[in-house]
Amino acid sequence: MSITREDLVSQSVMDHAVAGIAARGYPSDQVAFLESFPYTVPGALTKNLVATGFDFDDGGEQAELGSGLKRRVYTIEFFVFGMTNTYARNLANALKFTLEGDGRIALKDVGQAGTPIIDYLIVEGVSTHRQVVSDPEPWQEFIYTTTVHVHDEYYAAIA
Amino acid sequence: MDADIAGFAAAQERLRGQFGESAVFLQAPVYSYPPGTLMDPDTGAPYDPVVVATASAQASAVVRCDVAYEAFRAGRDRDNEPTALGFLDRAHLMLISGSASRAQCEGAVNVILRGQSYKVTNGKPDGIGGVQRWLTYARRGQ
Repeated sequence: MSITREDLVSQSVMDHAVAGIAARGYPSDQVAFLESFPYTVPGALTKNLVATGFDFDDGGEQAELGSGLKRRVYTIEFFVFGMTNTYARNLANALKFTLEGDGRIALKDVGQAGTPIIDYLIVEGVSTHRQVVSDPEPWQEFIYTTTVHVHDEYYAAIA
Repeated sequence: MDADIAGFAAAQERLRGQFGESAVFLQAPVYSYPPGTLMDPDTGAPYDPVVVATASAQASAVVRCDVAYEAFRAGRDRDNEPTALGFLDRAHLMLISGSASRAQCEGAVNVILRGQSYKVTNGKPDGIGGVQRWLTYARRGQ
């Protein structure tokens, strides 16, 4: 099995976001999620899209003396492409409040049947920004990014 | 010898008749929403973007135009632009219609050409020694 803990973090955060947006009442014919930078051709913009999964981490640090416990902060960016500014701003901020939640996101093991919850990621902060593009193409007019920082603690030797 | 401006305009019309294409110009749609919908006075749209309009009306007109596409460029500015969504079609075009069609073209928000929709970004009068035609600029994307 070659599913890394980073895969679990990315997938858990995305699943949390997708479920949360659906629970807030955004219909699937108006909002869709897809992977960031897939290098495929999705066609013209016909609904509001959220490109997710673009993430990086801080390299990690030792969490306690005398053990291999590691604390790593992941930064995950969601790119919101809206059909209108109202929808883009609204969706980006709904995503922000969904990710913020109660301060934690369930870490699920997607490598096991039933995807059991094995831990919780702590949400350190979520922010939303509008991306202003000079001389924008139509799909670049209403772009927002919602960025979440989550920290994960794990034993590096068995990760 | 005076310049034959009228002849130039007539020649332009003949060329448009032979080499032009029919484009559908769409004006901004007018929406109706369910009673009680809270509306944002700044945008004229509901605060809640999920609310679906109960009715919509959109004026349209078919206009004969010459079509000019922005030349394909190699290098960073290619025909498809890589974005977080993938490769999105990037096409800029200019539609040239006669001045008589200005009322049908001006104010349009979208134009449909060859079955594809383009967003109108600008429009202006044009001509030589006067105004004989109307230019519509549009970009692919919505």
